[in-house]
Amino acid sequence: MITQFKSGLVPVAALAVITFLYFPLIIIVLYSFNADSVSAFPIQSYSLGWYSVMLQNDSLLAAVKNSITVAIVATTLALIVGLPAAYAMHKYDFLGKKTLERIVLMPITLPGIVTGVAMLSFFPLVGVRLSLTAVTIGHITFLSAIMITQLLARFKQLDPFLEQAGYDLGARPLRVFFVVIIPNVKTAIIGAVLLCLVLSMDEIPVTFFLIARENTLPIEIYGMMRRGITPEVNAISTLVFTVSAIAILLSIRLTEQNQKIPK
Amino acid sequence: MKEVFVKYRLVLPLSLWLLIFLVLPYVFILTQSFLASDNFGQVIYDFNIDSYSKFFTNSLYYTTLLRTLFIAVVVATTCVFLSIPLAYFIAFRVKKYKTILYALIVLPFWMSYIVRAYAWKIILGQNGILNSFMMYVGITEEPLEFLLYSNFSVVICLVHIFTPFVAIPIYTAFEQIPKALVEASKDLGAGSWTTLWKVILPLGLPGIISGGTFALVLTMGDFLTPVLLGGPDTLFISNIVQNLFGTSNDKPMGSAVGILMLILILILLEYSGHMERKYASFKSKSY
Amino acid sequence: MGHILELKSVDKFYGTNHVVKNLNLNVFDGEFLTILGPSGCGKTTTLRMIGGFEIPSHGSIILNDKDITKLPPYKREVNTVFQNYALFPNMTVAQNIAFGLKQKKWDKSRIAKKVDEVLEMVRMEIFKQRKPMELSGGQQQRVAIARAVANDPKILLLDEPLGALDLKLRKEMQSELKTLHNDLKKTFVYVTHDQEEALTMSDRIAVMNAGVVEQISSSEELYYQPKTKFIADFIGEANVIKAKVTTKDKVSIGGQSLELKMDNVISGNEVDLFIRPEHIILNTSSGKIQGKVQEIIFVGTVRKYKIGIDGGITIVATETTLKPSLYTPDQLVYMDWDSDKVSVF
Ligand SMILES: Nc1ncnc2c1ncn2[C@@H]1O[C@H](COP(=O)(O)OP(=O)(O)OP(=O)(O)O)[C@@H](O)[C@H]1O
Ligand SMILES: [Mg+2]
Repeated sequence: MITQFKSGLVPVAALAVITFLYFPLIIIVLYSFNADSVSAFPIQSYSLGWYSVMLQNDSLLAAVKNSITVAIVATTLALIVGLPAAYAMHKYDFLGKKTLERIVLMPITLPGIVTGVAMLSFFPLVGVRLSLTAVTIGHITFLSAIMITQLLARFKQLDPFLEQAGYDLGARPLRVFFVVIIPNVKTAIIGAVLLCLVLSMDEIPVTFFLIARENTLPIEIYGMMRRGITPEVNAISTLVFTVSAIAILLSIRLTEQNQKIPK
Repeated sequence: MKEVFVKYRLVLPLSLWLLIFLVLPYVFILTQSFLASDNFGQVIYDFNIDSYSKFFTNSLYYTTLLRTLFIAVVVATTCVFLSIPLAYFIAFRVKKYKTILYALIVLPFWMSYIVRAYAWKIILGQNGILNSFMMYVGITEEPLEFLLYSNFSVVICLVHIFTPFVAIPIYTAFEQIPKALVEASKDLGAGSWTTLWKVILPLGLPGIISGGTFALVLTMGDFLTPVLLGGPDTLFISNIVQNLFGTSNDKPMGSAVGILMLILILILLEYSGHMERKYASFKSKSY
Repeated sequence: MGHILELKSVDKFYGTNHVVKNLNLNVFDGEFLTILGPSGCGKTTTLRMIGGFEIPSHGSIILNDKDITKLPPYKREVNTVFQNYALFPNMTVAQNIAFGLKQKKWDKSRIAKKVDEVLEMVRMEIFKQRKPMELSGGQQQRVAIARAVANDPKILLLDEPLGALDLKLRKEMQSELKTLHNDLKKTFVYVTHDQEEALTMSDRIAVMNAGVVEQISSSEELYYQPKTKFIADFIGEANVIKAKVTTKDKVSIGGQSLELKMDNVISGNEVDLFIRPEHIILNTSSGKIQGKVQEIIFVGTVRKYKIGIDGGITIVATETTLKPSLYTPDQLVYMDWDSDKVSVF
């Protein structure tokens, strides 16, 4: 074969792209240990200084706390609202199902900024003032979309006869749901929850418009960036990367396990 | 059985929630886009289409939209070009480390948006890492200024952020191409380039379209990267919406621009979905 | 033995698709009844209506004189062995089997005893603590049967339970299921599209075609006295010979005249004669019709003759291979048979 790729071309190109994807992340991690306050090449000396600066930045810490609170509350509620709905959407045909499926996808497919300004305009009319509460409501809305798409995908893989076997052996629907369905989609639920936590912790477009005085972490970082470069952002970012990478890898693993259905 | 009621009871909370906190807000800005606002930014219930006519007569609006579209096309194309070799490599060249490599492209997909924008800021800045590196090794004497606060920095950051969104559907599409087809092509005497060009790319086209559309739509909706990394003339249509709801405080106009954005994006999505189906060779999972 | 289950004029529609048509079926207490038919004929649908997973569009289902037509599956005293086993992957073998008993609120020691008992019955005691994923197909099959049987159902429903097994294992499981049926003295309603399986295992067979039960009878009756052309064709190997009615009780096959008792046929009409190859007696001197040997095929225990007659008709006859063949290709032979072995459609 004359026109065979020069054997190295494809791997080299692929490697270059992967490097491009990871280079900025590596930079952040490296420079979080930079002793200097200017992020220049080469790094003269290393220290944990920016981590201790970060730990003294009260508004940053408050933002972390806010983000965690919003993420946990929003994810929990998205799960409570999303799980039964996803199950019903998987199992039944009902009036308006197609419409509901389309609406659920809206927060994922439509640009966040439009959703953000729409909520900003409408929320006060139903008595929700701009605040972390408004932010949480916004998050529940788009997280329930994520939750439902993730869970629906798993329900689709579930052997429909398992449920019928449950009924056949005398268990009522509610029991079947908790004893047969839930244990078999457990990993997907955990995976989806992790994903939602990460996404909520990182959400900007909707949060940006609904926030009042108390910031979430990404909005706080956004503010710090606008004020100039502060290397403690490197430190907090490194932490965010580490935590979200662990969560995501765990989530990927859990979703993969789902696919091993007994023959 | 009372199953009829059970199913409605299960979807009722979600339906109500989405109605109040998603559908009504959209309906509301649609309405608001036909209203007016007074000098204090107060919305007046006076039905008109001024905002829309302003959009099409004031060059600020439509040129910004066109510029945004242009940059979005550049970003999407670049993402596709970067994604193809990556997806090809993982789908056809590796066996053993497939899962790890796949995880490697999925991981940045979920990584903090704001921190990645921040990274490019410290890399491309005037006293940033790239400039100080180039001066250190002697490529340049003076720091290059065009790197940051320019269209360049905006494009590179968006490409970086959206490439995983594009690579994943392309990879999924490539993975669905039966390996036997690729072997058959080579068996019939086609070289790797011909196989790529005549077999893999046509069969992977739905994935490429889907990925490209992702990048296109996401760029059009982005408003942070231009603020953080863009120059004075890098303004996206989303920034106009942001300003109209912020400092300019003209919510009806902002709503109108938002609605037009939405319509444009829905048309794009519909069209690309149509193209995906048209070029689909396999019954594929949704990406 | 009385009826344990009755299906009365049951119809099932999926949308406008009429899948089960006016089905009347009585199941005797303790029998092994098989529903047999080609793919898509409505067997599964019928079984699922008995199990409670589908509700008939019309008609009723009576179990032990109680109308269960609309009762949900968890309130019916029948249990199903699913084709893909549907074992709960998150539970061990023992937990799977205990599942139904727990729903009945049995106490722990009683459940444990019953679990051991049914596991012993299917010879799976040592796999008690395994997860379904760690079992082979045949072993999963046994667990699925044990799980259903443990609940002591009035009727055991089995939908192609051996469909996923390879041929050898299939044969083994067939005889095990038959033994199980004899031991348990329970009513089995069994679905399959494999006629050999149906013929060897069943007390009675209901043959379904396109949503209609065409015949319910014992294996032998079905084989030798098919009521419809479909069944004649579907079960075993048979000659279906085109003939033309000439006068009352006379037909012509490829120009040869033949006497045949028939009801309600009009001369000039075409009819199909049905006869099994093993019922044709070959002869060199006399017989009902004559033909020329075209081909002789040795197939183990029997020898198969393809005999051509005028009009392009080929008839297959078989003979035991215990005796050497008396005929050679191109030889003229007579074919004879007992009149009651022929069916006319
Ligand atoms: N849920 C359903 N919705 C619509 N049509 C259905 C449904 N289930 C079955 N059918 C149709 O009803 C007919 C009978 O199906 P059924 O599953 O009872 O056939 P079967 O005899 O069990 O076939 P097989 O031997 O292939 O299992 C088929 O034409 C099938 O396509
Ligand atoms: Mg079936």
